Amino acid sequence: MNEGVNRPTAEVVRVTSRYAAARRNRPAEPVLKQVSLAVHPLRTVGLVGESGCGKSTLGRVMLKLLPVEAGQVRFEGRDITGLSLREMRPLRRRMQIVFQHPDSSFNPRAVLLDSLVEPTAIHRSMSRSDAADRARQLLDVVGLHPELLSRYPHQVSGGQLQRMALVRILMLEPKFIVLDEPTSMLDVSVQAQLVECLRRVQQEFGIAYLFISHDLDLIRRVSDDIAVMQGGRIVEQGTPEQIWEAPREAYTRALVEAFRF
Amino acid sequence: MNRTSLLDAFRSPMAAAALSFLAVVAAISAFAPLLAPCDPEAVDMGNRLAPFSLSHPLGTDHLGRDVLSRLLHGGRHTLLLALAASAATMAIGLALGIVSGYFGGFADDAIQWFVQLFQGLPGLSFMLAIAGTLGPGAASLFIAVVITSWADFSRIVRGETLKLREEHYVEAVRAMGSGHGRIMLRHLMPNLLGPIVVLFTVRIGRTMLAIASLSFLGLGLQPPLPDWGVMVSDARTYFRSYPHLMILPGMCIAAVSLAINLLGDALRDGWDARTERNGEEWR
Amino acid sequence: MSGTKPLLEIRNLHIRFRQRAGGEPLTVVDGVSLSVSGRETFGLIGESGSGKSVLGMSILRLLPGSAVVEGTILYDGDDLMQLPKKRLRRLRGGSIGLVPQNPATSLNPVLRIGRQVIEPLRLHRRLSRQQAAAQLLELLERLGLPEPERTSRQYPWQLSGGMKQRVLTAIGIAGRPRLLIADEPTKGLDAIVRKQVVDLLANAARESGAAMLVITHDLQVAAKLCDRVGVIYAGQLVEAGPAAELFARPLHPYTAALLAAAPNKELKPIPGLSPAPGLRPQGCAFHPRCPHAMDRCRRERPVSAAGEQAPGREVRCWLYE
Repeated sequence: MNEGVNRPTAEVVRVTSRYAAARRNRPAEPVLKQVSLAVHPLRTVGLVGESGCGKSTLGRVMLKLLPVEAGQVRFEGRDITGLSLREMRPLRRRMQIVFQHPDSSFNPRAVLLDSLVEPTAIHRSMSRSDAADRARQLLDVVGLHPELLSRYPHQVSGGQLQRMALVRILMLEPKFIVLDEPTSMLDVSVQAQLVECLRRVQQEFGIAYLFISHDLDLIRRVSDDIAVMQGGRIVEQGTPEQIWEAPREAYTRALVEAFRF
Repeated sequence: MNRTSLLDAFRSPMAAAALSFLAVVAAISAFAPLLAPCDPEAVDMGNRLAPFSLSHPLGTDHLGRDVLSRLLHGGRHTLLLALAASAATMAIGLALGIVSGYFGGFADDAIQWFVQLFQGLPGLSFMLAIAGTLGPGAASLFIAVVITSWADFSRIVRGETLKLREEHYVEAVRAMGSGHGRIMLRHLMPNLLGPIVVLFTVRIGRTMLAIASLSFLGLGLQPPLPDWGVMVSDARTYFRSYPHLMILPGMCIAAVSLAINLLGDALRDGWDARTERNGEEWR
Repeated sequence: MSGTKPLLEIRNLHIRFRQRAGGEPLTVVDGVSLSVSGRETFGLIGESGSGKSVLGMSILRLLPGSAVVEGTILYDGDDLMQLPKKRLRRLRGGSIGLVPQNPATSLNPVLRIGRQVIEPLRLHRRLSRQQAAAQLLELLERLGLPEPERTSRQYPWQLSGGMKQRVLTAIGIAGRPRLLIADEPTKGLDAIVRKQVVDLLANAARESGAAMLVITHDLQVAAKLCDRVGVIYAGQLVEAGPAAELFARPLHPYTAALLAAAPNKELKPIPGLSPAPGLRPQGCAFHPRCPHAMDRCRRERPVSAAGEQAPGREVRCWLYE
């Protein structure tokens, strides 16, 4: 088997997951049914579907933030399905997530600098002053002013907070990032800013993205490959052109129709 | 979005007045030994129930003790005890509430079983029972207050924790590989502080009243301690002829209690305003 | 549009909010004038912080007490700002219907759907209980809610986002309004549901002959639904005109940039940030981000130039002096 170049960074193989959150009265219906998906280095896989289709769950399952009942979760060629919390810890540096709601992505009582150096504090990988320097460097990469570091989350706009979230993740040098509807709470123009920033970061740091969204227009522009989800399954996969011009499944067609406004 | 701090609550004149009043009371209680003209426990049977005079501005009580000095000393024990008991309640309630809410599952079930058990206890009656069994005094008051209050407190903390647990920033830190301790201490606790502080303030007020009530009944602080509750109790027999002996300490209790409640209300308003999404319409 | 008097006319509207901490009130709407004729759908397009929702809410005087409103809002000839409370209440939900933002929180969680939709039917159309009940079912069906009988007995938490939006629309049109104000009707909705809601609103307006004011940040929704649109930035109307024309040939640089930023166009970012209320720059509010900014733009606020570029179009920009 040709390890290395074409090995996916993150992958799930026929996973079934029953819980979306640790609640007790979940219905018997599984949230993910036999789902397989692979994300390769330096590529962006777009995951599109309506709310409730399971796309957010799939993203979290790939990061082992949610449990699976059946199937395999793999990372950098290794089966991580059965790993314990402790064993996962060193791996967590290389797999991260950006959330939909920038306002609640940061501890409201902590100054942004503290939130940004927290990852390195958790992993004890560098001194606080080194971490602060690195944070400043990364702020530059994403186009933010270092002055923002001394502010609280509520004093910063949504688009800026999403870029901050990106910096926080980059502190750990991840190879795989799940972007869970990162722009759905942002205005159109701010969305464009963030997408441009994400592109730059991907090229510079060589990261694989799973871009989750319900906006097919957006997904088409940012993805190398698209996976369409419905009811806990991936119903179709293909390149943006294939999905848009020649959708095979009925659901995909309906989705494309909805966007051919 | 405009975010006011808890301290903005003090813009209201009532709240500022309440806070200043309490500060004064606290100062007086702390420095009472220096401020009081006489020894509050000095008995002078020759000068019992004296009217107002220069040497005794508020007269003397049935044992010839200076009323003014006793009033100045009167808050010390009650306030200190109320503070200590409330702090202990808060510490226990906070610890158990966070653990219960954060971990869920078995730990939650176990702790909640105890909570329900203790919540079912009738407050004042139970305090009477404990004071009766363990004998009166500060120690049993302390125990009684903590036993009857921690459960309620921990329930509220648990509720808030359940809400906070679902926030993205908690998930983010978990995704970074953080351990449980860090999450509870650095991310949950500071964000719980707001509603907790409000509760704490209200609780001190209630505790104070409970202590005064028990002391009045003879089951709390005991004579000859110069304490407002005790003073009210002592003055029962002389109420007809010398009402001021009962009214003055009674007013002190009422005033401090009121001030604490106003403070608690103001803090609650400040907290509500802070979380109120009045900026939403501007977006 | 045929020279008749407009149904809704807003003249020089200024809305400021007093701050809790005191100091200068913040200007959120900064001198907006627009008009909507009967049977016409007008789209007010803007991003967060532009003031569009505040403007919408001000028409029915639904702003919080800290709001200071100046200017004239004429509805069918009456100045809404001066109207006595009693008449205003008759208008709300009756002649002027509102479909508010955020279906999740705009419905009363402890009342059944039927009860909430019936309210305007009884209140504004004075129907008897039986008539209202019949109308209720008809209305729910018309809005595409499956099993209207069953739905009317359900509670809001049992419905999906899309269904809640339909219920809100039903409440909005139940009173047979002449003017329907739809505040972000598609916010947070999925594509398929969004399309359904847009069709829904278009039909509702067409069938009842009502005029509609649609407040949205979604350009595609505006393009599909509206006859005329106005673009609002930093509390000012920077451009207005017939929808098709405006989207094909935007005049104001902000409009052009906004269109280019859409994912189905170039996904091109606009540099800088939208100014927060109270932090609006001198001169033209857009000049720090404008590729065509001139010296004059930094100093003077542009005035509205109407009809010069093309009939029915107005724009606030020094490029068109």
